[in-house]
Amino acid sequence: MLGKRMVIDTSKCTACRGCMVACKQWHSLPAVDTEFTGSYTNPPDLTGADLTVIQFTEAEVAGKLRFLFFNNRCRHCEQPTCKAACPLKAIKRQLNGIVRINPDKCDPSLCSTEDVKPCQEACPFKMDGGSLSPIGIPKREYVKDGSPVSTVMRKCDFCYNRFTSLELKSTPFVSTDGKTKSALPACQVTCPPGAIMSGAADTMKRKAKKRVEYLKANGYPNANVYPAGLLTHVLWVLTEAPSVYGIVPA
Amino acid sequence: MTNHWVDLKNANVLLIMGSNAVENHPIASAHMWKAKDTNNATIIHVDPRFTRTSAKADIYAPIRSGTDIAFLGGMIRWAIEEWYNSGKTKYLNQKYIEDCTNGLFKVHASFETCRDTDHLGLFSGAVSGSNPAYTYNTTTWDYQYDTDTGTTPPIKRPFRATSLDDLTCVFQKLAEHYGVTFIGGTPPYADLSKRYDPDSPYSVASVEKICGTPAALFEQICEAYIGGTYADNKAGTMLYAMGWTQHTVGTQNIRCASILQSLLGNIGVAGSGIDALRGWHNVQGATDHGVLMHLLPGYLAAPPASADYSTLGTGPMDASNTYLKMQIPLAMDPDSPTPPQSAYWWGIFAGQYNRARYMVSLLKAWWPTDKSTLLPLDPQVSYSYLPKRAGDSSYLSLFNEMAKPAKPIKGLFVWGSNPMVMGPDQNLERSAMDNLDWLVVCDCFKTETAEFWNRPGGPGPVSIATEVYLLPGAVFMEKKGSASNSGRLIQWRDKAINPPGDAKDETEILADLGTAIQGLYSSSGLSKDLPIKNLNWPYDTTVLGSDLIEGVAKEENGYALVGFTTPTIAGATATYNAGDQIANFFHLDSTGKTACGNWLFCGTWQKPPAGAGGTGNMMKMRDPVDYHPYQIGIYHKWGYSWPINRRIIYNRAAVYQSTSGTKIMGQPLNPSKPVVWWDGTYYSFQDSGTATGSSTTTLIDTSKTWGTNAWVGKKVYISAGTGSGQERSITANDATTLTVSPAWVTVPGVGCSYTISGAKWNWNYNNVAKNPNTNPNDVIDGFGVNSPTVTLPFIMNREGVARLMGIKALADGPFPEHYEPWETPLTTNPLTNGAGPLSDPVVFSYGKIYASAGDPAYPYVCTTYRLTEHWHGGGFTRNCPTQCQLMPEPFIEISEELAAIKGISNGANVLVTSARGSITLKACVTKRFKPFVIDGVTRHQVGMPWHWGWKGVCSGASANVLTPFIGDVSTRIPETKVFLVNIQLAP
Repeated sequence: MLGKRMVIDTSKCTACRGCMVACKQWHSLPAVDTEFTGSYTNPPDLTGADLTVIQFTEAEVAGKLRFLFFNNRCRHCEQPTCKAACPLKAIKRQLNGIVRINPDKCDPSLCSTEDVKPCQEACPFKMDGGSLSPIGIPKREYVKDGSPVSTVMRKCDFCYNRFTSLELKSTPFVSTDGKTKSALPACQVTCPPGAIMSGAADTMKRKAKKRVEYLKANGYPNANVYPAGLLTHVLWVLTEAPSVYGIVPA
Repeated sequence: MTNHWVDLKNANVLLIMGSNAVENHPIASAHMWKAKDTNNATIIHVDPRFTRTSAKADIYAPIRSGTDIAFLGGMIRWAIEEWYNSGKTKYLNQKYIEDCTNGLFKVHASFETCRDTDHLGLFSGAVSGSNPAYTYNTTTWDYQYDTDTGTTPPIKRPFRATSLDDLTCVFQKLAEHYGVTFIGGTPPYADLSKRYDPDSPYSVASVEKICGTPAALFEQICEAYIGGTYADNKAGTMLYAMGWTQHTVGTQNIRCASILQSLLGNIGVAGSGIDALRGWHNVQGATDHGVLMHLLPGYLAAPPASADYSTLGTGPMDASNTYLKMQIPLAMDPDSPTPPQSAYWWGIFAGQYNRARYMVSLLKAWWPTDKSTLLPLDPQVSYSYLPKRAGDSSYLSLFNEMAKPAKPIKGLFVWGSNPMVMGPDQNLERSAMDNLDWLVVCDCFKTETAEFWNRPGGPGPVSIATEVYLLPGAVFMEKKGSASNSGRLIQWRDKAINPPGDAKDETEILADLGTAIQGLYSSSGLSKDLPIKNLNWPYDTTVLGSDLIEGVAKEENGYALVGFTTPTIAGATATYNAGDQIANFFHLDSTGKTACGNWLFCGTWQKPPAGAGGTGNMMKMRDPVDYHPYQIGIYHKWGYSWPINRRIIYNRAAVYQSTSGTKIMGQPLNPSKPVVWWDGTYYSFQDSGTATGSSTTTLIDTSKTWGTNAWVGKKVYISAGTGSGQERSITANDATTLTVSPAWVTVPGVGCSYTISGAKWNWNYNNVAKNPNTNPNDVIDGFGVNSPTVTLPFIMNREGVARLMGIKALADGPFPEHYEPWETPLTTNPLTNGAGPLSDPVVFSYGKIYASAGDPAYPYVCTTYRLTEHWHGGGFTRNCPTQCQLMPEPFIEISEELAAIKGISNGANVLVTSARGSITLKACVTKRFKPFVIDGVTRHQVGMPWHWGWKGVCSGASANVLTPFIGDVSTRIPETKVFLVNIQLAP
């Protein structure tokens, strides 16, 4: 596959949520109102101000307790169905595989009269949110200081404008692992255990598969690469089957 | 930490216990992943609750809160039994025990462990009292001695047994205390028949009975940790935090871990250590600088107001007790006067007592001059100005006083701290604050403490009589200065932005406050006011400059008060002019020539052009290269590590102390990860220069002023120029000329470079002598010129070795013993089946509200802990909207089993009650707590984060309303980690 790819290794993720905060900082998104509803996951799903959310799951698999952390976000499909569904042609797929919503073209009041917008309807990736109606990745709503807020559709944009930023490329900043430079996605730069990697699509696929082989041999026999079809520019290394994480099959 | 963060990568096994390392140190714990990547390390997490740390661990084991000594003691017993039954080949590091610990030392004939049936659960010397229940006459907690009358004064020397099997030695007392028995009653065959008997103390079955940890899982951990790290070329580290310290037996928890690590050879080598994970980025700095009530900077003792400490004195030879005599007891070199001997670092070094150097230099920093005469003050006078501690000002005792109806505490300063959220028994503490006449809070936000009177149910602003001042402080990015991390690494931080409005760096506020207070006393003629009048405040700006932060840092480092030359140390002297920064604490002076605010920081600010950018500031160095030849992560040019830039302390123990078979004295235990080593081919650097002349048997440098014959026995090596590559022994020298033997083959040319090296035996790596600027080893722990056969490895102890057995310490025993927490669901101590004390008998009770043992009104064990997303009392993070989004309110984590019994569903409101008060929290029903089976009975444990109070962007109930006002025997740290509660659906 051509272009860029991100691999998120959930076996390394410690659920510190630095990625969620770094993403907000880079995109100038506010914190949203939440309450404790019985899980560390907050907010319960992606919002118009949360382009990535760590979803916590507890599960017992073959007698072993697992506390699983899934960094949920747009998969950046090789053939994005959201793009095809948008009547305003507001979704662009870059040559390098990054799928992004153009905020100047997106207008949820124009594209449809339904509450669930075409891109959300078309997106095959949902979380099993229990009482939440499972709608796709792009979101436009949240509550702030007691008031509901509505925006254009928002989702992870792979920090497409960090790669080309002259300012970021010139700073000597090096991340916790001693190698990661600034001109990369904000979540990747901030992640302390280096659970988020990005690079050339095929190289990243190989790294993901190699990690899965290591995990299978070292206590995690169900480790797998998700989505299994590998038709996306974001892949995850999971330690259990996707359904155990609460991921609804696409 | 005895080791440091980067060193974690060298571990083969990491035991995280009494810590939730990954949640509370999310960035620093990334160093653990390097151990996994490079060593395929095993990470073990032992915790009452399965946390985000457990999720990343290879092995997780549950443990009931407050039973860590039962667990660690069980590991000690298992290790000793397995060692014997392997034919003494595995599971202990025998040579390390014999050479580096007091394991072989013979014990006082009348010493009895807690296994003595006359007083199960107590040691010999127990004296029954009222509060505490017992104290100890510690006479028998001691060695057997020989008295060497050939020395003045006579030195007591502990006897060493010849074998660890000797029933009178420390090792055997340790084995007996932890329940090891032998077939036939004597070593070497351990009796395993009671290993699965729950009544056999510290057996595998007793660990399951007391801790609730399944026996098979406990044994898996023993094999993984003990089996995986005892070998010379394997290392294990123990990472711990408040889960071990915040208990009435907290100090003994740490002692137990230290004993186990010493048995396994896991102190002083790469990847080992007793690694305390400090709670914020500069609490290490805070304790380094003497913030705790019983300390002066550099962990010197703050003197009590007793006759023994009424004067400073000069040292151990003083006719009557003085500070320095009390603080410098004599060394106790074992066996005989011949080496190996104890370095005993507090004692004599180059003609003065080190302890005296540090204490006098501190006094000279604070009270150098009589301001009325401008003459130097005698250090004895400066000592008289130092306030003496009357009573105990620990946190609990302070609030206890504050709460008294007589209101003996009139005023309180609270700097960057939030006691109204973080202290135990909040109903007591909050109403204690009402007794204050005045309160000064310095903080960046209006915390709960700053508005204590406005608490729910509080007196409110009209009826509160306390005058409260809020001084706005600066956030960490708004000030510059040093921060010391858990690994003793001191890193300088620059200021990124100015504080807003009137907010100021707290150091500035303190400086202004002190200056104003001093001004109020300026016209006083009373001698009692001299300590304030003569105080050097904020520091000597004419000598150290006007930049407040840098000036304080330079005073911490130490500077010369007058011009002087040091005594000869390792063949060289150093000369200082008045005002020069002192290079290291070897050069501090006990006769008043030097001032030093903190001897541990001596070396952090050198005379320029040393230091980062030639500034002198070593804490600002940022060279990201690991120059250590084996890449163990020393990074000696990144920041500055106390003491004297040593990264791994006790590193003398990283080599064999003596030769046995294939184990050669001076060679590292782990040849692929050595820290330092002593090897015949390497040399210690002494001096270098450029020759101005020579002859067939001499080398001349007219720029030098060497002491006559100071270099006899050393080597001189020509490193560059005509004659380079030659090395000769020095047979004589004067101020400028070396006489060598044998004669030069090629007479060295004028302008050639030379190096003088020390004795043939040395700690440094090849080429250091020839390339003095790299010095890539870790700094050797004391007396680098002495081989292991001359100096014993644990240089800070009187007897030169690590103590498996405490000598006349700790207050509650020389070996840790399992006692139940102050509030326990049990009515008898399961270790002694009720024959011994239930809880630690030496705990001082403050007589506040406590649940009684096994109180059916409070049947559940409760613990408190922290989250990644919030920090401490929440003054910072609960004013940060993103943190409030991630964790908006507190909650109680309850097992699915207990939730089902109580009819509590996830997210429901739960009323949680302890003997002291109640709060309402949302339920987090989870698989990550499971019921314990303790001595056949199901016991439930719950837990909650404690970050919340009534103020901030996100507010909520304070867990510390529930916690008990009781503390550790030695430190008085509150036992907030374990107490009893009841829970029910909130009405």
